[in-house]
This record gives sequence, structure tokens and C-alpha cells, in this order.
Amino acid sequence: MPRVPSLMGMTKRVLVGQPVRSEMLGEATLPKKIALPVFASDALSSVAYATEEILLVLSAGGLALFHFTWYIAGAVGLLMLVVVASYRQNVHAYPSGGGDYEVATTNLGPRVGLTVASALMVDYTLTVAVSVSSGVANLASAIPSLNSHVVVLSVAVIAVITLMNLRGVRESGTAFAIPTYCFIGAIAIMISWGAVRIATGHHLVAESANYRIHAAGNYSGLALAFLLLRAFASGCTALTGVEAISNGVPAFKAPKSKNAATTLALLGGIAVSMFAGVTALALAGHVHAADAADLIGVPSGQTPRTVIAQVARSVFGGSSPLFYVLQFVTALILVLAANTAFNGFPVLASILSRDGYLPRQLHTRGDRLAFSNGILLLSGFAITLVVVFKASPTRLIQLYIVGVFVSFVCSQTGMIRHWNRLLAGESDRGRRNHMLRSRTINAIGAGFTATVLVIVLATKFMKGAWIVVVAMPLIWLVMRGIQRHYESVAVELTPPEDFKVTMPSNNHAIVLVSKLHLPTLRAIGYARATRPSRLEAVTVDLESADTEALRRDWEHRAIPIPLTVIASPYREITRPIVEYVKRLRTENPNDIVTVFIPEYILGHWWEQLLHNQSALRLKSRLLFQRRVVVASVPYQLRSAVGGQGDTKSSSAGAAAQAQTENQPPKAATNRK
Amino acid sequence: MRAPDGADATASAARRDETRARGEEPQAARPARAPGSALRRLFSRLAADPHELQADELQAEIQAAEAVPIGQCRDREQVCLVGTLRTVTFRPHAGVPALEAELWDGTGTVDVIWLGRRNIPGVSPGRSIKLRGRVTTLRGHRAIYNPIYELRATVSD
Repeated sequence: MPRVPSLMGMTKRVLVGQPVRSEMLGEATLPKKIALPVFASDALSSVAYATEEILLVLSAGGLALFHFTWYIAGAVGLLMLVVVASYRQNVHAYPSGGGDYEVATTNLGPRVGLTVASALMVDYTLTVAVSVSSGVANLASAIPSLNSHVVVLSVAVIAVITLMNLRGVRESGTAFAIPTYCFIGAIAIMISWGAVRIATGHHLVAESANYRIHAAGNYSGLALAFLLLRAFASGCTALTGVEAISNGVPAFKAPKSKNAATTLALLGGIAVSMFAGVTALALAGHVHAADAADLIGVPSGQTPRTVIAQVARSVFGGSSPLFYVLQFVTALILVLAANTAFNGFPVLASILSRDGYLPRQLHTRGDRLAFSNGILLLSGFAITLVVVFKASPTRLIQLYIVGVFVSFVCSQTGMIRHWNRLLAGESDRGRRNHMLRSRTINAIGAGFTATVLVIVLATKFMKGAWIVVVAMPLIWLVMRGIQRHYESVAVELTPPEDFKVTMPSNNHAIVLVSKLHLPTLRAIGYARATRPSRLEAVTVDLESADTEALRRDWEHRAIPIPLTVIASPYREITRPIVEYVKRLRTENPNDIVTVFIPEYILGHWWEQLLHNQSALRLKSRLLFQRRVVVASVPYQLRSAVGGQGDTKSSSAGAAAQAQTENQPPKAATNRK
Repeated sequence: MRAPDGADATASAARRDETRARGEEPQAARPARAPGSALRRLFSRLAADPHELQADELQAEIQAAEAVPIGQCRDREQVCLVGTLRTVTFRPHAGVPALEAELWDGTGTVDVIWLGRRNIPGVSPGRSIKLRGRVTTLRGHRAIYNPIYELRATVSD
């Protein structure tokens, strides 16, 4: 029978596409030149906002502090190189793609692994929120009229990414490669063009060069150090996404680990030089960035442009097509960065649900072989964040990177353990030296990232990071709870070693009857066919007239099984039946009671409003009784079989009836 | 038809104590109410489900009709029972004619079987009834065959 097309189903097909068969799930391997853009878009895209965030924090102390930018950018660059070097060790040691979660679980135990997982989940969500908000902000810098619609735009962008992922854009190489390379190229052109202009004696002047900044306070001594650390913490956003490659090692062409390590090195080099270049141009062009309220001299009705937009305008000129290209490409790569989270989060969620920390539904692949439930979950959280924080990258960034650094620290500490363990059983001199070197690198990485984590927590806690600090343990506890539940269920369900299947000694079957119609007759026929040890029909006495009519009908049709009428002094249906079933059951503790429920199936939901769902309610109540089996005997109405099987089903019903009537009266012996 | 509330409560509580002393658990046992304030009684009435309340009412009737609580019947004993018919089972035409019912009086149940009858007018579920007969055991259950019955008036009659 052809499937009846429903409106919901058709909408889904249009949006998501036709389902894909399971054998299409092949792991496509990527060469380095494609793998770099696929995995690096997140890390590279932070160039678009890292400089700006540093400047924004420093602006609190007024223009005088901007000369510190250089040092802060240097520190961030150094940190980036250290983290990349550490992750190159991870990639070699754990090429299976489990990432930080696997490293931490293997070396530091499942509790730490779970910490990493909750941190990463928070951060994937924030990656989406921050990247999309920032991308939309850059788009709005090119087209200022969009400034009043950023929230709607951001939500729309997330919705589109969600949809694309539901369709199953599985890291499809070139689609990612072009925008990423365009972005790298555009930034490179901008940096070299700017360098050439400065070298030939031109002065870069950003549009905000004349703005003055209302200093929030006079910073010196400890307060100054704290502000600088805060700026550094904001700049560390440039580090997000470095771990993406370590999760994606299986996707590389062989030799996987080596290629992944090389790609990581390339990523580090490119990201650091782009970051340095943009920061240098921003300083050369005297870009003055601050909260809109603190900027003095902004033409009224204008939102200040993003730093990268200002740099591009100062280098290329305000109406140059290159400026628009750069803004567009920046927005695009930020969207792609959000997309990497859409790759990472569902995979992490599926690994976690495989290990029993998250609901099983997250482990199943949808129609298009994507982890649909994980994708929807991520998109829901990200949209909530964007709406709550009004799509402001600056506010969202305060929550960001706590999670990343928690996972950095855990995985690097885990790597130290890993090397310690291997060193204990290794006697070859050369390999020992190699391991010692790797351990040193990981130790440096652990030390650096731990320091940065402390700095980030200390400086951002009051600015919003506390939300993450609260959310992570909550997620941790929820996942532990889920795991406990699954474990206790599994323990309860496992049969003991000497367990033998015993058959119930007696099967007392009852058929629920309200009226003597076709569904009832079919249920009676079916119940008799199962040959229970005892069989009776049961009805509830709601209206004595109806009951009397049923009894007469019963006699008239000579139904060969006894009919029991249950009194219902309070006009209930469910309770008297449940009580009756309970009494039957307590009689013989070895028995099974089977309750046959005739049900007619309606084709449309609005039809169901017209029928009270007493059978459903009864079924759900009976399922909680021990040693009671509920059997639904469906009877499809014409509307439910879509006009095709109507003749068939009614003839089947008639057959059931005929069988019931023609049966010789020996069934009376059923009741001993 | 029913004793005033307070008397009913104390009476049934007393009966319960009696049954417990003899090592039998009444079927509709409910946590013993302390004979405390009227407020507390009100609360326990609100907290009790209708099934338990009905059990209490039925037990009060046993005493009024000077009948034996089913929970206290012994095998092969001639008894007089008062209660309500919880279920009535009509046998199919094909078999031996008999009408079965289940009598409940708040302390226990007994199967009532009238042989040779398919239907007795008035013997219907929910009916209050008074029976005299000899208690036997059928499949580990108390049962009475062909009792003398007396339909009791209900409000609607």
C-alpha cells in the first residue's frame, strides 16, 4: 500500500530531503589541503574578533592603555603556539578521534572525562552563538541598515545552519575550502596592502581614529595588571577550535596522525600571523574600539563598525569592493565556524550517549545519517543564548573559552599521565627520549593552559563567566544521574546466571467489552485463538439499561464466553477494572492475567477528540500491574486505512464475527 | 441507613482491633485512626479513597443487620451475610446454567453461585443484598451455593 502523504511529512521532505540508506555512511578521507579549511574555520575565524575584544577591554582605561595591545597579542600568539604543539602530541597518541574526552577518560578516569565533556558541550554551544553573532555584526558593518535586526538575523542564520546539517552536509570538502581560503587570502591581501601603504609613506587612518574614549577609571598598579590580564583573557578567544583537528584525525588521509599534526602546525602558523597582522594594522590605523556608550565623537545614529571592518576600510577605502568582499568573507567564515560546532557537538553527544551519559536518542542517526537530535539540541541552546544576550558578541564572549580551557587543561594533564604510564614500561633509549620530549611539551601546555584558565576565571567571573561555572557542574550532575539510571536499569534487567525461563502456570484472559460491536467481536475471536486457561468478558456497569442491553445482545448472539459485569458505584471505568484485575491476580501468584482491549483506530487526530481515550488510560494503568499482560486488538476504521483496505478490514471483522458465532459451544468448558 | 459518623468510626475501629487480635487482616485495612479530634477525623476522611469509605459503610451495615463479617466466616458454617455485589457473571447459553456473583462486605469477598438460573431479576452489580447459606471452599475461595437471598432497598428503589 502506498504511503499516505501527510502535510508534516511533506514539509520535512522539502526541508530535509529524502532519507539516505545506511550503507551510504562511508568515512570520506580528506587530504591536508581540504582538511585544513574543514577543521580550521573555527580557529581562524576568531581572528575576526580577537583583536577587537582586546581593544574593548583596554578601552576601559582610556586610549593610554592601547599600546599594551601589542604585548597582549604577543602573549596570545605564544599561547597559541604552545597549545598547537601540545595538541600535536595528542594527535599522535590518540588518533581515534575521541579528542579530549577520550584522553581525559583514559588517563584521568571517567569523572574527569565527564568534566571535559560538559565543558566542551557548553563551549560548542557558545561557539555557535559567538560566531554567528559576530558574523552578523560584521555583515551589519558592511550594510549598516541591518544593525537593528541582528537578533532576528542571527537566529535565522542558526536555523539555516541547522537545516543544512540536518540535510547532512558532512564536512563536504570544497564547500568549506573555498570560503576559508578566500578568508585567508582576503586577510593576507589586506595585511600586505596595508604594509605596502605604510612602507610607501601613507598613513592609515581608521574612521574611529578621532573618537575619544571616556575612560571608566584611572588604572594603575594592581588594577592595571588585572585589566591587562582581562584583555589577555579576552584575546584567548583566538584559541578556540584548535581541538577540532584532534577530534577529526580519522577523517585525514593516511598517514593520519602525521597529516593531522602537520595541519595543526599550519593552522597555528596561519592563525598567529593573521592575528598579528590584523592587530598591527589596527594599531597603525589607530582604531579606537570601546562600548558604544564610552565612545565620544561617533556620529549620532551610527553603531561603530567592528574592528576588522574599520581596518579594512582604512586599508582599502570605505567604498572599495575589496572591503565588501572582506566583510562578506568574514561573515561567511564565522558561519562556517559555527558549523564546526555542529559537527563536533552531535558527535560528542553521540559518544556520550553511547557511554550512557546522555539519552540514547542522541546516538541514533536521522534520515540523512546526521545525528539529528544532537543537532536540534545544539541549535536550541544556541538560539536561546543569542536571544538572551541580544546577539552581542562582546557579552557572549565573556562566557566563552572557560570550557575550552577546562578541556585543554584536563587533556594536557591526561597526556602527562599517558606518557608517565608509557615511560614506566619502555626501555628503548630513543623512544624514551621521544616520550620525555613529548611529556615536556604536554607539561608546558598543561602549565600554560592552567594559568590561563585561572586568569580567565578570575577576570571574567563577574562579567558573566559565572553562568558557565554554574552550568558545567549542572550538566555534569545531570549526566551522572542519567548514567546511574541506565546502570541501575541494566543491573535490574540482567538475568542471573542460573536463571531459567518459567512459563506461567495459568493464563486467565479477560476481554474488555463496552458494546457488542465489530472490534469487540474481533478481540473475542482473537482471545479465544490464544487458548487461555480461562477466558471471560468483562464490562463495567455504568448505566444499568446499557448493561441489560449488552447482556441481551450477548445472549442473542450466543457468545460462548461468560460475561462478568463489574459494579462501579462511582461511575468510573478504569478503577473498577484495575481493581478486578488485581483481585484476579492475587488469587494465584503464579498466574498471568491477559487483558484484551479492543480498540478502533481513527485516521485523523481531530476524530480522536470525539472519542474519549479510556482504552489508552486503562492500558497505561494496567501496565504498572505486575503479572498483567495487555493486548491491544486494533480495528482500523475506514479513515485509518486511507480508503484502500476498507473492504478488506470489514471482511476481516466479519470473519472474526463469523468465527465467534460458528464456534461450537464447547467453549463453555473454558470456565472450569 | 448509616450510623452517625463518630459512632461509625469508633465501631469500625473496634472491629478492626478485634479482627487483628484474631490474627486476621481485614481486606480493606486502612491505617488505624487515632480517636482524636474531629478535625483529624475530617482529614482522614478526605485522605481516604472512596473504596475505603465504602468498606467502612458496609461494615457498619453488617452490625446493623446482625450479620457475620465475611472475614470471620469459617468453612462449613451456616452464616448470614450482608454486603454489596461487586461483580455478576452471566454464563453463556451453551454451558450449565448458573449465575455467579461476588459479594463484598468490606471485610472480605465470597463467591455466590445460584445453580440452574441464568438471570435473577434484581441480582445486579452494585446491589445491596442479604444472604443465608453454608460457606464452602471453591478453588481456595469462600463460596456459597444457592443461598437464600433478600434484596435490600437502595435509595433509588
